[in-house]
Amino acid sequence: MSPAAVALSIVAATVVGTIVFALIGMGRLPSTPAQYIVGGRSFGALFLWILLAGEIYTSFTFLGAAGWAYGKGAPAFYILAYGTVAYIISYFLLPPIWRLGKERGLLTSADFFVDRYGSRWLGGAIAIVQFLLIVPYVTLQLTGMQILLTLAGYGRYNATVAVGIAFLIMAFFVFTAGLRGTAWASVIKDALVLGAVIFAGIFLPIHFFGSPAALFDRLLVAHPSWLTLQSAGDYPPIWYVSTVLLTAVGFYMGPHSFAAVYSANSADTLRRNAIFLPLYQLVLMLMFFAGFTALLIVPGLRGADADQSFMLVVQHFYAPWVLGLVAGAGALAALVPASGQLLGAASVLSKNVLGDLFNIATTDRARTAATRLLVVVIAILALGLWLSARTTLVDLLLLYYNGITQMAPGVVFGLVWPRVRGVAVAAGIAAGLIVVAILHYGPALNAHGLNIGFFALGINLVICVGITLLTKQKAR
Amino acid sequence: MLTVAVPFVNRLEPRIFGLPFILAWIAFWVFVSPLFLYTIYRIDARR
Repeated sequence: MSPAAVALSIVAATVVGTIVFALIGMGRLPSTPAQYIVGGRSFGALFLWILLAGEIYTSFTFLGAAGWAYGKGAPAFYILAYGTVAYIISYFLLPPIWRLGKERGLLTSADFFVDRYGSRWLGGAIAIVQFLLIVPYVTLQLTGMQILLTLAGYGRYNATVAVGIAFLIMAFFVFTAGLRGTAWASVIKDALVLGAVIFAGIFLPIHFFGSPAALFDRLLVAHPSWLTLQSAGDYPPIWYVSTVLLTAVGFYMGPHSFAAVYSANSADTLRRNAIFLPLYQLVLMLMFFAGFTALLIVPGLRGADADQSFMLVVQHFYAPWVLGLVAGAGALAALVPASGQLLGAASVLSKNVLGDLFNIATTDRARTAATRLLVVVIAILALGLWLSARTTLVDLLLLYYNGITQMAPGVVFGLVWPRVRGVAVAAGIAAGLIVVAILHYGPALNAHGLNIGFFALGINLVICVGITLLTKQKAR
Repeated sequence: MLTVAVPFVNRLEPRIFGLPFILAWIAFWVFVSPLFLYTIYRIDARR
């Protein structure tokens, strides 16, 4: 067999094996919406940890962490920090969200808004915004997978078809298995990815330089300004601070994250998860090592090509089966989070748009069926978007975070400030989204590196708080 | 510590285990945050 055939068959075996394992692992369960969308609210601490790690650490996290370390240097360190800040916030934020979800039987993130602010229209609007934001996020996973499969095929095959097939298989897997299936698939994904990361982050630097510390010695000689934030560049310290805060706030606002929160069996489970998840972040530091190693071994990649950096090292210097295992781990890191995101988007659409606004599919059985159908529809949509416009995807990830973070005031105020009304939240979100869109597509403003989503969040907050205070005065 | 302090530790020396100081700083706080959260958890649990 040719090297490409060896590597690609290992990737295929990994993906198929994981799906079979997940289907066996979950067993037979009733297909109610609560079971399908939030796993029957029964996940214990360990299982939830695996699901969260499975959904959070995507192919983009890994290729991106190495790619940023390779292409940008110190700005990559923000990836290490924002997750940790998000977990600290989550310790306090998630248990009340869960409690409300349990008491009121909520299934989706938009349900939270419907319940708290008493408006089906607000819930429906939020569901549509979330759907629009998450499709590009899913397509991002496809791009990650294409990079991996192209390299695993030693550039000899057109990976587009393989990506499409793998993704549709995954969509049908979500169709049958729901959230519990995603969690089971995460078991294998996490184990393989951890192995690949330890290989890339510890073994590679030792192989080429003797130790990670020696890697940094070499790096400081070759690129002295690489490892600090440069005030003069595109990523000054203020960029770091605003981006970490923005992404940390937006971290748990996606529909797939709410589903994972609701799937916990108790508020205590969520707290224990918040304690242990930061340790997973340290794994990302190993990907920086891998990226820096690649910078010294295969220099000269520019722009988006930097994302391929450490995979290229593996391809050049190791046997096909090693490449196959690493690429297989990466492919799962794309497919497993994508499956969670598909499910999240499908469930808000079926529940909060079809069900609440148009009174379609209101029985349990019909709702599960509608969610399933939408999983496949959204998957095909994402595939279509990916095929037609794949150059601007990194932009789209920022757009996702900038946009989804605008939900945060509605969630946080909804929990702690009873006076806030739906109107104020809706106006704040609308203003925030408009600001994001203007700054994103309009003329480039010199914001001194300040993250645009952070700026939009500020405006969102001012409007939301302002309207709340004004309506309070009127009521007097 | 992980966010607003970072502009002030934006430097290479002293190296810690060979890591540039900024990276060692961030990694250190990532590592200790579970300890803080666990302490809070214990205090909460006692109540």
